[in-house]
Amino acid sequence: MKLALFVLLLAQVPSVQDASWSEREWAKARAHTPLPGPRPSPTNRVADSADAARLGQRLFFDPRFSANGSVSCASCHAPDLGFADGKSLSMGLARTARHSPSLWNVAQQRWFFWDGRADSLWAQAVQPLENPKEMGFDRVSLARALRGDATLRAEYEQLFGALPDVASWPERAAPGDDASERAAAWKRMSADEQRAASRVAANFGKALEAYERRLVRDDAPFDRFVAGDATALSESAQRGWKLFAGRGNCRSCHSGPAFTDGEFHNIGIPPLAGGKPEDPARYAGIDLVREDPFNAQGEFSDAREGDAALELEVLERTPQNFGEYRTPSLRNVALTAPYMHEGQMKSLADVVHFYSTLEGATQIGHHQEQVLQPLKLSASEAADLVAFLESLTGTPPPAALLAPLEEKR
Amino acid sequence: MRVQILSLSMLLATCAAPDVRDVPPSPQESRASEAPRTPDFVTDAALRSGAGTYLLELDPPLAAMPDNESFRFEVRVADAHTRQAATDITLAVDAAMPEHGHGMNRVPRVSRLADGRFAVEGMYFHMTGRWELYLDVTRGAWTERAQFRVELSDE
Repeated sequence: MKLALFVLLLAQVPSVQDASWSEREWAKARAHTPLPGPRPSPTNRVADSADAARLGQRLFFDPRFSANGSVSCASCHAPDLGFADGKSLSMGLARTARHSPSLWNVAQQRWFFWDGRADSLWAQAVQPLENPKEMGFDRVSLARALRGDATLRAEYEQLFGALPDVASWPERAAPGDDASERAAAWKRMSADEQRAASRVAANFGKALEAYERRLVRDDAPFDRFVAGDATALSESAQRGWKLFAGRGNCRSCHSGPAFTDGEFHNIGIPPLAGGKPEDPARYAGIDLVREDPFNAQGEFSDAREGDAALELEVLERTPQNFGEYRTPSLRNVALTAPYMHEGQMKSLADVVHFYSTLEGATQIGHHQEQVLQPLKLSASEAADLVAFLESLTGTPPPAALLAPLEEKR
Repeated sequence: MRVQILSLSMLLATCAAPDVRDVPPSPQESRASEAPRTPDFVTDAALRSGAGTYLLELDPPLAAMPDNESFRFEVRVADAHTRQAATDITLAVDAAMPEHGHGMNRVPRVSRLADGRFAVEGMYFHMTGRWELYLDVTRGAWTERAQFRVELSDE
């Protein structure tokens, strides 16, 4: 009798092994696929120009635009490392404060950097160029380097008009409040010279954006499964989707075809160095993007009055923004370990473990997401969730897009 | 996308404001008001503010508000008893997710249009789930909130 009752109870408990999806789970899945084309980039008139993309690809892999001639965009955004760098904290000329985010499907984003301090991909690209810890270059040296390379100069001038005459400019100059020689040299330049140099930097960013918009990696097993290929997902990954869309509540933030809401949240990840979080993140990012001379409202924008400019105007900074970081896309996430804004977590299993337990989560007042609760996953559930995340790895674009252009300069 | 709107204010508005225009005027009333009645500034779809002072009509309506997309809407604000445009008021708009403890990360731009309407730009509901939309109507020193619930789903 006891045995019979036990068997009956077992029969009434829904099997955790059931991989089939309900109608609602299918409906939720359809909200994530297919991946649409890149978001419009109205502030960059060459965003979708093939010529600009070709120039951008040259610039992306070229280490000459760095203070020591050895750091390029690809140093921290390496194609074979998921367009990231595999490190916790990125290393340019020196170690930086944050983890390199992947560039796969980067044109799906609305804000750039972990703190969203750039509102376009072209505005983003200018900052590593001059950051002393990244490429340590400067916009005057950039103009001079472009003039000195016949191919780059011809391609630049075809897109953006004549490069400025740099003969009378200082050797190096970039704006800054620091006591560096390049900042002092910048102050000695006339306003017209400064504007001309900044325009070269903006155009450098616009060509890079045109290239980066083509770094699309979609058509993942998940996409194919939802489109009807029943063999595309393992049963484990199918069960993982049920957790992702159900009890995990992952799609609360990782929503839409890019698996991100594009906004900023504080999930209590402890700092890599230990202690309490001191990085203001989005709290600082809001002011930085508003003050960025390369933002949508700035003089180098190709649409100063449009929707992109309005996005800046309505931004509001509140104490709640302290410690918030941009929700990363989960497409191709298996290619880009380690994870989080300082690469605190070595593997997807570690990430899932964190959400399962919230072990070590920081508490900074009441600013973190209030909906975050430990998921208390079993080992097999955690494995299923990882299997689902691994099913978001898409098909890469042609290899020629992922390496320096081979054609003769 | 499926949107559900639950609004006590809306229910109240429906109950408390029957469409008097459908009732034929008595002969006496017809004689007393020979001039045509000024058309109402809002329709019967208008929502009611918290204390019932104002009627607010949103275009597009709450049910058409999208998730994860920048959008704008227009608002007509009328005095509930006259159903005419409230021209001596100002309007502020905000929204929040009460269960999440956060809002939109932005303050929408509200501008007054020529004919008593308001344009609200820069709205963005970045997550699905339950949002509360707040329209604060201020006349003199007195602010009255109209609050509506928007349930956003991407299913």
